[in-house]
Amino acid sequence: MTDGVAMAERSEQSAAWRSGAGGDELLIVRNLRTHFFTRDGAVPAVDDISFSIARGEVLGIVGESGSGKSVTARSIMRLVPLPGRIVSGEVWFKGQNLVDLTESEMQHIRGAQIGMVLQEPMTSLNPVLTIGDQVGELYRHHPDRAPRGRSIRQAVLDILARVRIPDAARRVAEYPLHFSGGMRQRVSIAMATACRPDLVIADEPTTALDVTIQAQVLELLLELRDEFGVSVLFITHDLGVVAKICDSVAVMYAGRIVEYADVESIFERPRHPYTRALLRSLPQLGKRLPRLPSIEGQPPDLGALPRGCAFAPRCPSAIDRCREAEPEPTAIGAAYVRCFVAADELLQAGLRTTPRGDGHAS
Amino acid sequence: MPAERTAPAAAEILVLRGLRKYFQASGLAAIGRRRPPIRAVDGVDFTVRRGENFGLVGESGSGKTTIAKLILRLEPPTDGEILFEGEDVNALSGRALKDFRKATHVVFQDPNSSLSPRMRVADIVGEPLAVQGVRGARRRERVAEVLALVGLNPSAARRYPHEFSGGQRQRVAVARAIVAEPKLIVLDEPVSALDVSIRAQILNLLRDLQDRLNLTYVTIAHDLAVVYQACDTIGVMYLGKLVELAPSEALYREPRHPYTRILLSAIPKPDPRLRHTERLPLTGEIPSPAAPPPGCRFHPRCPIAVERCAVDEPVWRELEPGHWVACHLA
Repeated sequence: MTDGVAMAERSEQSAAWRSGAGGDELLIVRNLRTHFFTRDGAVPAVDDISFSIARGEVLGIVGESGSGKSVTARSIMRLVPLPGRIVSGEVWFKGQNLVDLTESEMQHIRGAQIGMVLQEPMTSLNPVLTIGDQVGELYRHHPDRAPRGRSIRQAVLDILARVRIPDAARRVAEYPLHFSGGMRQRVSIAMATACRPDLVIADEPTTALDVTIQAQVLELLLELRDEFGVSVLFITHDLGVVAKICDSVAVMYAGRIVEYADVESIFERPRHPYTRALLRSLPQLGKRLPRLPSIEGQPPDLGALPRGCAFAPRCPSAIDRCREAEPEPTAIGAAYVRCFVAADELLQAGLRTTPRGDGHAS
Repeated sequence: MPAERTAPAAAEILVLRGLRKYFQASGLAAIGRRRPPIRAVDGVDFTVRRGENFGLVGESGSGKTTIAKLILRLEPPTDGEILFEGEDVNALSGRALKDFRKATHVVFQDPNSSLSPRMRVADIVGEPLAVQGVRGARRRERVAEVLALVGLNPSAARRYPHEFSGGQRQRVAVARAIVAEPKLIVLDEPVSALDVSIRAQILNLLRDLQDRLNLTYVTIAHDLAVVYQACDTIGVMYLGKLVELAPSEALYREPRHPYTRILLSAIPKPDPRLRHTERLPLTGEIPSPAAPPPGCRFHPRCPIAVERCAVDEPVWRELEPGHWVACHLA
């Protein structure tokens, strides 16, 4: 079985991804649970997820609406809206567990060490402050993060030039209203990176943009990563964008990470039936099909999850076990997949000898 | 043209000729000064064949949604004409206008805002029939029939839109669009508000219905991959004008306009091995449709523009049968 050999070789590559784990991990999320306590009961928006981001790494979190990707971002930032609450788990960032920090300690981290870019820049920009004032505000808030030997005005002009706002010297005096969608998102990125953060969390930052503008913004993010070694947690539903900029990928479904691996593995040998189905159902240029292979059914209601695996009712590979018990993560090197069927496939391919359900890669 | 009325099976169902739509700035922006009009659509010609899915792509501000409104006669054009089955849509009145309203329908992007939250699905879907005076059991039966056609349970009729997921709501919107047996449906971003796993379902449903009901679609979308998959012909718009029009496969394989090439190269491909393929550069942003550049309106951003492009407006010409382009250098 040459196929099996090839798979084993590839698995070594997968294991090499994260070989630096431990030394260079900037963010480690472990068994994080964030639930929303509604009148109808607890809704597990994020349920037992684990992943890590190394310095300079771009991690993509992919999922549909309600899969928990934005709640994950908000949990890391400790900005979970009520009635939501982090129930358990750890968020290690530069050696501190963010879950244990006080609100005032978090304020030193937000905006300074972790920047955030949102889908609609108008929600993060203040409409009644000029662009110059709101970028400058960051340096007034975090004076230790302002570039030395530069006035605030100079520092603001530097950062606007870095995100390539044309004619920055004139435009600092303008209001967000005067900027196009693409330019506003550049300003948001300027603000998210002004304090030289270690991590930028970008939540669907290009979803509202036209594709040519999206390409410019993605390239800008990668440049900032290359130049300053900033890590990026990139939340999106667009697998094309993931393939373009991410080093590793966490696929979320119904509050869980169902598959976590390096980007090549996700696209070339996806293990989870959901990842596989998602990739197959994408309309692709150059591949016109009479019918797209579709995923039947609807994403589940988080308040009334089925027994067993949440994807089982829509899964073409589901077996009885999937409807009875919930699969635990099966590790493949540092990657993992939450699926009984995938675990069996791995066992058969000789890629795993231990039984499934032994928890996360540490 | 009475001859055409007796030959409804003519290959051309919809013809746009020299279509223009200018908007005068209004509200706060118009106070104190007279501004040049916004040229949302500025001279567009194309033909849609019966039974095809015609795609219009373009970025925001390209004018594609205005064209949808003009086709549906929700707005009058500033100039030019739209012929539906040979008749000038904007000259219709009385009975003929009613027939036109019955023969055309629309599905919008966001089923959350296009469906009334206080109406039951039976009434939402049955409304186009009610307008025509179809009542009682006949209406109920027809509603049940189309709900089944779009893959919804008969019990859906008694429920409200909020009880459904996004994908099912879009099925309701599709049911409403087909209930009065239209000939032409304008699909305005039909899947862009839907979850990725639902998009393929809805695209497949639309194709099935098209085949079964002999429908013609005009699909408006910004996602070229969706349009390429769904449509037979694609028109690419830039700043109020078509820059290229071709059969889908030809447009993808042999794009002739630099803007089409740029658009194709800007789409992130779901394959990490292709991540380092160079994107064709596109600098700047789309100019204001109130003051389009002279000559070719794409020339200030065009990587291959020559002097002539800033002066002469390129002629809309057919390079090969069915493949049209407006570029001096194509």
